Amino acid sequence: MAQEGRVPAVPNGSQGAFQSLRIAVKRHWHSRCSFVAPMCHVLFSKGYAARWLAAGSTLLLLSGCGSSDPNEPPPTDPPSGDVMLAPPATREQGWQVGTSAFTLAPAQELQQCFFFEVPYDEPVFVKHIEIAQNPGTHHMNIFRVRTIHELDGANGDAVADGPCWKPTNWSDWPLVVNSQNEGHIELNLPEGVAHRFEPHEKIMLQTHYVNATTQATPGLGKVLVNFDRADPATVRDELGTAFATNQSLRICPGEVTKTFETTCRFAKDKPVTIYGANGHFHSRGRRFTMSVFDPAGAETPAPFYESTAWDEPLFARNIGAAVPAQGGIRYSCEFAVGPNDCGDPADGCCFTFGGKVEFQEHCNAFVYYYPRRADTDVNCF
Amino acid sequence: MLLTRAYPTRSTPRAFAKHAWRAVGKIGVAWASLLAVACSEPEVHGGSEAPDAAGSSADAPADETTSNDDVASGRDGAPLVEGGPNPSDGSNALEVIPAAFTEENAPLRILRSGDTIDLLRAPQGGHVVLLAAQVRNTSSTAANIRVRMRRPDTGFIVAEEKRTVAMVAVPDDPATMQPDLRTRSQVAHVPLCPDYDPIDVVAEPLDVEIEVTALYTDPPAVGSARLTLVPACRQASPEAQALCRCECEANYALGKCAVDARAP
Repeated sequence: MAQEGRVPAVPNGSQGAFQSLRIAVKRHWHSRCSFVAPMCHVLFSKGYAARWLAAGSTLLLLSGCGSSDPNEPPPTDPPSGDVMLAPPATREQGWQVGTSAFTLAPAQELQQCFFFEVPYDEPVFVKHIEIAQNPGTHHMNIFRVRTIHELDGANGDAVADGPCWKPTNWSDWPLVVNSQNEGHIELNLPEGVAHRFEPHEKIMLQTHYVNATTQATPGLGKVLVNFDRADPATVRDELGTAFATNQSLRICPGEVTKTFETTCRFAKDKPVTIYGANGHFHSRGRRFTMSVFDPAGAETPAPFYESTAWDEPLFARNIGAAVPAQGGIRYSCEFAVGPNDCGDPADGCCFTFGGKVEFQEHCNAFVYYYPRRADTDVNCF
Repeated sequence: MLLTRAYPTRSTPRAFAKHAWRAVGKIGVAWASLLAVACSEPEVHGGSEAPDAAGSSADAPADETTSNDDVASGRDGAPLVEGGPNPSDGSNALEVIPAAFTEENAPLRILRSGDTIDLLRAPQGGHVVLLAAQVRNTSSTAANIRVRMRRPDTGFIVAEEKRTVAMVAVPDDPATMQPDLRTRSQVAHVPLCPDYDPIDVVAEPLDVEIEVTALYTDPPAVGSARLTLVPACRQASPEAQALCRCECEANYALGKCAVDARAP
């Protein structure tokens, strides 16, 4: 049964120019097998639009940008855990995307897909990304929109649940950036390296919040992301991304040393350097590792990444691991399920592949490297 | 608030290094053996009996199953079986009989060198081959299965996958173990497509190594087998087959194959 909800507006920036976006979200409380849902509508408040116009630019409003006074000190997060993130001071410096604050009912897992357009008429490069998320976040992924199946939206639209849960809807959408951590995460790309965005490129911010047994959202959910631009003249290499997911997982009650390991090759005809990486699984995950995979050799070097925290996994940056031409990563997930835990009661209480934190499992790797291969980012399945 | 920090590189645990070193040694021996003989000649290492491969067909459709006896004929195409006691570490040896998953609760399809292996659509995207093995000389109910697929001419590893699986006795053959076939999650899912390489996946033979490590045994028990397989897209639906062929064609780029809902 569909239910319409409204995500309240969020003041985005502490310096008076509020970025306010009122999003009417159709929340699709479908069963897990139902993904047919209409797109949602975005309504801009006239009052807030007036503030935006006063602040300087309708384009900034459409794209999620704001302006701020660079002389003021950076905002600090209030004790409640509600994150704040001032948008880039000027359009030339960058832009911000984000969600309004939203609530979760007890036992709810809410996945929302927000659509934005890169607000520039020419290609832009980004050297610094900052992500701020309120407590309770499970993940935040931003993808470049490619093939449309059942999930789409115009600039500012949001889709809650329904098709936003179905991974085949974004299976060929390149990763832009992700974070699974509450609070603030920053990516300061190495000198000469930058993320490239095309003029008015459509991107999708997917946020997954949980207020249930394994994770809790004590207050409101909220995600803000800043993209700080680089001078194109300083860019030597583009950042490339790889999103890898190991599928058909299954871990059953009493299995305590279950391992899934596979490979993802993203370097093409020349070596690349890994800048950042993070692994993703749910609460049955015990250890996530990544190591450089050289397809010409059989030996596995020591991992460059290891995380044993499922809810706040390490986001490693400045890794500097060298990957040979045609190489990539070998990544591994170790799981354990207690004898009394239950995933799917219809399947022997086993936990199988899927996005629902409470009763399914994942083994996903996110990798950031440079230089980006010329033809594509990489998704591995 | 979580602060940013770089993650320190950690050393491989000693046990893992020991196992890896042992595996490397086995791989080296295996490759040397492979180069020394014609691929189609059945060969036994470590005292294992040569399997008999009568009845298996390289052109067998994906849903065609073959009895266990098919692997024991010793005719051309039988897999190269690694096994036998390892005096250096005292480990037991497993006899590994390569096989393909067909469907849940159905018998495995025993594989021979030169057989076709089906590329299947994976839940989130891409195409995988589902490989497993029947194993003799163990009664362990858990094992790690590692499948590694290489280019025959260079040894280049195209893809590999390892997972822990539950093992059960083969029906009517209690001396042979195989993965629990009630779910495909108990066999290796080797991700071959999308194919970002400059060489097609479909119809290009790949050397395949299937290594099985029985868990919770003392001393450790390991065995492997090698054979050549030819990936194929044989989906019944023309649309599904076209997607398979597109994703498995050389030089894939994201967005290349899917049909956009906005298309006229």
